[in-house]
Amino acid sequence: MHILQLSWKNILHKPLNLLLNVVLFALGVGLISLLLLVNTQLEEKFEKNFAGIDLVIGAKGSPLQLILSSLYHLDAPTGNMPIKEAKPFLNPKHPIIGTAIPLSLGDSHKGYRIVGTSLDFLSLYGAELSEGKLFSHTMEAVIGATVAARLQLKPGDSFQSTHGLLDDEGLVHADATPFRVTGMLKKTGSVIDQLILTRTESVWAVHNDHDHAEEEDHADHDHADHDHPDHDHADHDHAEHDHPDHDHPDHDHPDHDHAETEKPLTEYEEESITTLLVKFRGRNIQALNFARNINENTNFQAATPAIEINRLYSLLGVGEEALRALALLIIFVSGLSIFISIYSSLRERRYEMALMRTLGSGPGFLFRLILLEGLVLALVGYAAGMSLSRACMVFLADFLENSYRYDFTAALWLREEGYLLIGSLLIGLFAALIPAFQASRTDIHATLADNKG
Amino acid sequence: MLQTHALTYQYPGAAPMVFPDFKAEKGEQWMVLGPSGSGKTTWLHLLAGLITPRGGRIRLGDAAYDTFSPAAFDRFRGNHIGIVFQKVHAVQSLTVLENLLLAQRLGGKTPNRAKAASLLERLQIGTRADRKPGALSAGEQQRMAIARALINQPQLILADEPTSALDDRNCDAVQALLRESAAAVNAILLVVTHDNRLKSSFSQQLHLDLL
Repeated sequence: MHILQLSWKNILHKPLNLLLNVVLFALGVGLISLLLLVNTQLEEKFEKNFAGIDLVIGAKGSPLQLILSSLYHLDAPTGNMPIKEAKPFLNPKHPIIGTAIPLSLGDSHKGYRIVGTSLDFLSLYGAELSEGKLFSHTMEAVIGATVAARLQLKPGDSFQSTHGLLDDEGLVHADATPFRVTGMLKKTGSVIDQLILTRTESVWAVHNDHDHAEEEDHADHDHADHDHPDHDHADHDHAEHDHPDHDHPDHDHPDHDHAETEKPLTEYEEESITTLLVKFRGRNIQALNFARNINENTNFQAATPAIEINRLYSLLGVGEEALRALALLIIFVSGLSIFISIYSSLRERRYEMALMRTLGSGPGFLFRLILLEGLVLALVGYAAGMSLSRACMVFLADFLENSYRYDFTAALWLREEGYLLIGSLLIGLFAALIPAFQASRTDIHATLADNKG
Repeated sequence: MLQTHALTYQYPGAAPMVFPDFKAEKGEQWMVLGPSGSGKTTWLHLLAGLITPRGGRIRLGDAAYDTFSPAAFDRFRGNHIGIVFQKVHAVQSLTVLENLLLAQRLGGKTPNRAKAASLLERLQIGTRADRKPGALSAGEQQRMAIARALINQPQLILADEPTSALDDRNCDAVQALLRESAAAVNAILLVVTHDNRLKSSFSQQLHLDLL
């Protein structure tokens, strides 16, 4: 009969006490663990999706919204940037901007966002093809791993995009040329898993066809909410437009399609993009002032991801703090409940304690026995709490994935949960300390003599 | 051999109790009589080492009680002294058999399931081995207590009113079992009682009257 076995049997002997203690403890521990799980994964994904971007430039509006829509693909975009005005940022010889990746947002397919961009976007996230090839022509698309898995799309498939970011059948660009999937990406754990990527020109092409068709019925259709500006469609086929006085090096290239592909965006003066993801050449004073200059002197705004995300954390932090405080309160109460149930069971068991002393157990044995009961209760509560948080995470994962566009996992062990284990055991220890001390000081003679009939 | 010399004890705020010197050889069986308040239980607890005398000495075999540290005496008691109380106490979360195994462990012996089971068999509660003590009748519980007192083959068995809660039939059986079992391990048996049903069966009697 090992001492641990005896502790365990004593605990099992009071199943209702056990249930109450474990449920309380599991609630507190589970809540904290769940917060840790969600938080850690959110922060990790938020940071992963910084992708080394120093600055996001877009239309005026909320800077947080700009960051959320361009880096995390969560919110709606703030508006559009006419290429005519954004031209300086697209200049490869810009003294401050090292890389500027254009994004054209606003369309989606079955809830997954379509991003018109350049191939540079893929290298931002270190994305690699798992199958097929990259897009090289208009209306070709490369899909992220999650999109491929969820929508059962594979290279060779085609689909029609939907206007807007919601899965709304009424807004399908039915008249536009369908997209053709040319490749799919390996899973990266970043937001790119959830995106459909194509050339910027594809997004324009969809809307040009679309708008054109629509305009026959709705002459005054307002496209202000479109993700690229209202065009004057007199010249809507500029993709094939000839630029006679432009000495494009590939102009005489035999493969005409290829020539079209390499035409820089700055050539499309009448079009617009949604945002630009910017990497600086180097971090210096000019770079720091660059954002302010844009905000003060242009029609655009520039937002720094780190600043905006920190702002977001501090906004969310209040709610998280409250939940954490609640969880700590529950854990404290469960510690109290362990204390009370051991303490009161000890009153019933005082003869048992005296008996064990007469049978030869020293006071130390009783002390350890009661302490172990507290520890075992805390341990069982902790284990139940961990299972609870994992079970919740499994159910939450889908919901979180839809609202945050990342894959969440329940199969994760955090270092903080190790600390939580240590904390739990300390609570069990402290809850049992006073009763254990009391048990070890059982006065055998008084207890047994007192019970004499 | 059990021997006491000039044993006294004093409860706080009460007059000191002085006990007569006592000597018992191996295998002897004694009945200890005395009116209520004569200090029978106190004397028994002194012999069991549950309390420390104010003065005087106790020896059991080669061991003088006052040479032990408290923890060492706990171990010594678990190993060499078996105690049967009037009211049966047991660890309620354990089965009858497990209670015996616990007594072996606490007495510093290696738990021996077969030995414990055969002892329960001999005391005719073998079928109750896997029950919880609370599910046993009063007579069965007292037998379990006797089994537990005997399991470590003690030199001294102390019984404090072991039969007062039992009916006549169980009283006879428990008394007989106690005496047979003590004889089987050649232990000194001291039975404190004011139960008249026992009087005739013990040849050696000690009358405790407070001086």
